[in-house]
Order: sequence, then structure tokens, then C-alpha cells
Amino acid sequence: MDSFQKKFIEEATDLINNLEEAVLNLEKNSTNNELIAEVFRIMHSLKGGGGMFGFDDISNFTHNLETIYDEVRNGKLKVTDDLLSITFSSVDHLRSLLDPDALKNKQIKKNNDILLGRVDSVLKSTDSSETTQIEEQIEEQDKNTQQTIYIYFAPNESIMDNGTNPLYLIDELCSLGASIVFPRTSKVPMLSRFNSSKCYTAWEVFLVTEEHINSIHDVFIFVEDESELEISKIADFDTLSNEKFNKNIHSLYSEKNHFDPTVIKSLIDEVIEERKSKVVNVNEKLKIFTKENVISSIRVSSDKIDQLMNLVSELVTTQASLSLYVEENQVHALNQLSENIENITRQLRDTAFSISLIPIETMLTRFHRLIRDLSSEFSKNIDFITEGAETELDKTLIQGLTDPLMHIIRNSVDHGIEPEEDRIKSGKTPQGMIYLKAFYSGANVVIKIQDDGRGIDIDRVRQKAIEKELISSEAKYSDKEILDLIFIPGFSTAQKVTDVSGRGVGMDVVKRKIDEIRGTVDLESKENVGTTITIKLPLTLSIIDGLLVVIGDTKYVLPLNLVEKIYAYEHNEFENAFNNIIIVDGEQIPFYYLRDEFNISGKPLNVEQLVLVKYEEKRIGLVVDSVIGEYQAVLKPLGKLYKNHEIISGATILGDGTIALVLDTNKIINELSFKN
Amino acid sequence: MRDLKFKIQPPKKGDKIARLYLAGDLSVNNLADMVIKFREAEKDYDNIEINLGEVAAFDLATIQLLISMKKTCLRHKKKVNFNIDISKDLTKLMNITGFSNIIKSL
Repeated sequence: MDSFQKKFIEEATDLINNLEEAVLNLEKNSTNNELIAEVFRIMHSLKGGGGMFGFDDISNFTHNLETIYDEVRNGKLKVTDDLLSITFSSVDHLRSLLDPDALKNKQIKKNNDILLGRVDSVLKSTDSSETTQIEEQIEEQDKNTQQTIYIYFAPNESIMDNGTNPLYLIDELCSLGASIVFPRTSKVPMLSRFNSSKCYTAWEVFLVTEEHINSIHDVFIFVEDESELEISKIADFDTLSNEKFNKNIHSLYSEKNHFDPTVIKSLIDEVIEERKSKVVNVNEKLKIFTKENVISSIRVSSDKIDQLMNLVSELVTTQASLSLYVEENQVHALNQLSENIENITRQLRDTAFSISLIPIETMLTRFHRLIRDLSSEFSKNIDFITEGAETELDKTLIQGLTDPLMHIIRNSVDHGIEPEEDRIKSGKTPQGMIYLKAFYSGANVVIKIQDDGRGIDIDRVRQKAIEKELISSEAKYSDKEILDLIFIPGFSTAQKVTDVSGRGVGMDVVKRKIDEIRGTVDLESKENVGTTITIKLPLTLSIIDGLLVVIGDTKYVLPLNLVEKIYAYEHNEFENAFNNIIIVDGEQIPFYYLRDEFNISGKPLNVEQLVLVKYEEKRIGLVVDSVIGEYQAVLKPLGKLYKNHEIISGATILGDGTIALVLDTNKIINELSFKN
Repeated sequence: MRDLKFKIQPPKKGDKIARLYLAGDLSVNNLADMVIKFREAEKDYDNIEINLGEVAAFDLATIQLLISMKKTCLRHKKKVNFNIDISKDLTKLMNITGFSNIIKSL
């Protein structure tokens, strides 16, 4: 597979995801013309790209589907449940066609033929008399509808790299009607900086046409995403035949580098006044120019981002060595320089982080689709509501989070939300609800998945746990403790195994996967009210701002965002404290004496440090020997040997080449509170 | 497609004009060398004549190069003249895409 084909697969994957999202939205709002146009455009791009890069199966498959949506776009066909069902199936099928040899697989080939047959039958139905009637009405409406469209087209600098000749695009555009074209060449540089493969030219075009605005978009369909394109109807009549308007825009062209929308609007106002004065009944509606489709993002391979993050991590470590050297050797001349590098490194680190953050909405489409399909399969009526879709997470976390969330949602649909009749009997609305909310909480991202279903039957969980000898029948456990048993491997209360859940590899896998990305998962459930699962994740996985502390001969890093205050206390005060409680600023603070908890031998110091950390809504003290200071810790995995040491997030290399362990304070407190 | 032909005729004795002759199909695929020759000509001569009479076709990249040449010469107060005689089809494309006036003004 050549690099162009690989590139096409990347782009086609995005296009198919966008198509799925657009069809999901279209299902909710089947008359939305913008959504219909979007579906059409994506199919057109897939067809064109497929043909261009040798994915003929994709191109052939989308051909008729695109025709259907063209008919829908032109009002000749309506969006029906059947059409949506075909489109959803096509989305899935298109994903499999990304493998160029897909049709060699009998099952995929069979699916391909079935879908093409369904598409054909929809197309044949457009011959009905009803359609003809609609068509006639539209044709009637379209009569005498000349309009003036303003088009600003600034191709991407690299547009000529893939063989596109922008001159032909302008030529094709102008074939749609009468036009005046103004090329803008002010960006063409001097010879010394001239690169023959770059496009420096932009065009402004005034086009008088009877064609629908979609036809104009179609001209740019393959370059739209990579170009600055603005298409605005500026008048519902032919302005170019007006001599004064013509003259004015020509003189404006030579004066300015870009047509000012307000000036154009005033020129059109003048034409309207002129038409009015000729007692022509005009009802022109002007549209204000809008700047759309400005290039605001570029595609970068995730490998390059990983490489950037690795380099930043190395830089952070090297910068720490420099700071240490300057400090130890008292090289004053280097002090300022070292501080500057530290600042820049910090900024670079934050910027690199922000690049690797992606909004969780990127995975929401598949959940929408999942719920749609499962609802239909189980004949349940479920609304999926999301909030905070813009919340960003490290891309590695998103990758690690998708499967657990998928499983949680499947469980909600399968076991949580009741069938309509059961809900009505329980006094609930017929439509069930799954609510996913994401939000920032300190240096964490919290994702809550809530359903208003039947909740978890705690007695059944208890019974099952007794049967499986996980707990004894005499022991008393709180509801919360019973619920937590669901996370134990192999625990499943499902009475029948379905394709969706209840295979006994459910919530334990969810917990394990969340643990792997240093997150926590919490479950709350109330019978007949619903279940809420809360996942708490760190914002990022690779570098943290830490507090470097020492216990015995070992250095540790505590996450700085959780540290509230540090107090110095005599060793005796910890030794004499009753029940590990110490009074800090008049408040009773429970503390853990880490030297003892970590079994570190040796004589404690006379004065030790109490580091107050945030834990849920409380403040807990962690006692260490001494505090060195703030430290940017580049997290390195510890490998299999430390796999079961959950309290250690990783290790970091210090400026002097020694290693410090990065502690997960939440897990330390969890573990110690359970132990004690 | 005709091959690109390109040559710089060195100035005759006492003549300070560099004459650049271009022929064939000019496109983004074969312009890189020409950019270098243009740079050299612009650097070495005060008076340059570019003859595109034999050019069968050219694309946006070529037009941009001519504009760049013109800009550079103007900035460095050097003279550049273009002798452009293009086919009917090309003239039509230039008219449609708005370049005919720009080419005339070169």
C-alpha cells in the first residue's frame, strides 16, 4: 500500500466517522437541509477519493448512495427510516471496505450486494408520481431565480501537490453562469522566497447563476476542507448586468486587496434603490458575509505527537540536570539562563500537552450509534444525553477509555433501562435516559454515566457473592461494599448471557482498564431509580508537576496539584498523636506516617514534614522526612515487577541521574485506610 | 504534452539584455529549474527579456513565477519585459480565471 493510499484510509476513516455523526443527527432532524448537504458532501468525497486512490469498491458503493442523497438534497426524496437504516448499514460496510481486499471475503461481498440492492430499490422509488409532483413544484419555484453569489476561494498553499489545478476549479465555477473573476496575487513572494509548488493566489468571484448554492459547493468539494472558502448569496437578482455595480467592483479591485463586505453590501443597496426607482417590485434579501471554513487545524500523525512528547520529556529531564548543576556549582552566570530555560520548558511542555489533548466528543458518536442500535435490538426507547463533550483528555486516555465506556453503556441498555411497559408500570416515563457528563475537577477529568433504569438488585448481588464464596453469609456489609463486589473478576449477575453483556468479563475488565490509565471507578445504584458510574481520570499520563520529598534514603514525588500545605512538626508529636490525628490550624487532621507504612528502617529526624493533601472532600496528612521542593516529573513506567503496586504511579529520573518514585496519594490513602 | 525547452541567451557584446526563451508546456512539475534560472538572470542582469512565444500551455504556478519575477525586478529597479503570445484556448482560460489583465500588465 503506498503512502497516498494510507493517507486516504486516514481521511476516509474520518469521513466515515463524520458521516455516522451526520446521519445520527439527521435521524433526529430529518428535514435539516444542512445535514442532508453534509451527508451528500461526505459521500461525494468518499466516492471521489476512493476512485482517485484505487479504492474502487468504495467509489462504486457510494455512487448510488450519493445519488440518493442528491435526490434528497433536491427535494425529490424524503429521509425515511428505511433510508436511514440503509445509510447506517452502509456506514458500517464502508468501514470494512477500507481494506482493499474486503470483497474477497464472502460475507462482506454478500453484504455489499444486499446493500446495493436496497440502495437500488430506493432509487427506483423516485419514479413515483408523488416525486414527480415535488419535482415539478421545485422546478416551478426555481424559474426566474437568478441570484448573485460572492465566492472567496483561497486554496491551501499545497493544493498543487496532489495535481489539483486551481485554474480549472475557477473555470468549472464560471461555467455555472455569468461571472467576474478577480485573482488576488499580493501573496506571491519575491523570487528569493518563491516556491514553484506553492499556491499563493486567491480568487474573489461574483457569479450570477440559477444553480442552487450546493452546485457551487460541489465545484470545491475535494478541496473545501483544505481551503478558505466563502460562498455567500449577496443578492436575489443579477447584479452584474448593472453597469454601475460592474464599474464599482472593478475600481474597488484595483484599490483594495480584498472586497470589503460592507462596501459590497452598500453597492448592492445602491442597485436595489435603482431598481426600486424603476418601479420594480423587489424584495431582495441580503446576506451579510460570513467568514467560514477558515483553516484552523491541520492533521498531524499521532506518531509525531508521541515523538514530540518524548522529546519534551527528555528536555524536562535535561533541564532538571542543568538546574541542579547550576545550583550545586553556584554558577551565577548561568542562573538566569537556567531559569529562562526552565520557564520555556514549562511552556513548551504545556503546549505539547494541549496538542495531545482531544475532546471526548470524538468517541461520543459511536456511543450514540451503539445506543441507537441496541435500543432497536432490545425494543427499548432510550434517549442518550451528553454534557461536556468538549472536555479534553490525553489521546492515550481516550483510547483506553473507549472500551470501558462502551461496556458500561451496553450494561445500561441491556440490564439498566427497562422495556417501555415496565417503566410505565413503575411510574416512569416510557423513554429511558442514559446521561453522560464530563467535566474537569482539579487536575482530573470526571466522567459520569447515569441511567434512570431499574438499578442494581443489591440482594441478588449479595446472594451471588455468597454462592461464589466471595463473602460469608454471616458477615455484614454495607450496600456500597456489596456493590463494589461487581468489580471482582468473573462476577456477573446476568441471568442470561446476551451478545451485549453478561459474559462474566464485565465490570472487572472495566475497572482493570480504568486502573491501567491511572483512573478510579465508582458505582452507585438505587433500585428502581438508576445507576451512576463515576470515572475519575488524570488529565495526562506523561509529565506531572510534583513535590519532591525524602523518606529515609529514597526520594518520592507527590502530585503537586493535590498538595495543600506543608507543616514542620517535631517527631514526638507524631509519635504521641492519638489515633493518628494531629491538630493543624485548629483542625483535626488524620495522617499517615509514611516511614512506618513503607517499612523504612533507620532513625527518624527530629523535625519532620506533614504534607497536607486533598483526598475526595477531605484533607489528609502524609508525614515525610523532608521536602526538597517542586519538581516536574517525567513519568516512566516501572514494568511488570511493580505491576501490583498501585500506590506507585511510576518513576522519574532526577537531575542527578537517581530515581524517584511517583506516588499516587489517592491510592495510598485508600489502601492505608483499608489496612488500618 | 510537449517537452519544456528553456534557454538563456547570453548578452551579445555591448548588449546588457539577458533573453530567456521558454517553449513547450510549462507546469508546476517542471518549474523548479526555471525558478533557479530566473533567479540567476535577475541577479546577473539589469535588463531581462522573457519570451514565451513558443509556450503551448502553462498553469497557475507559471503565472505566479512570472508575477514573482516582475515583483523582484521592480523592487531591484531592473527592467523585465515579457513577450507572451499564447494559444486561443489558453487565452480563454486566462480570461475566465481573471488573469488576462494581469498578464497584459506584465
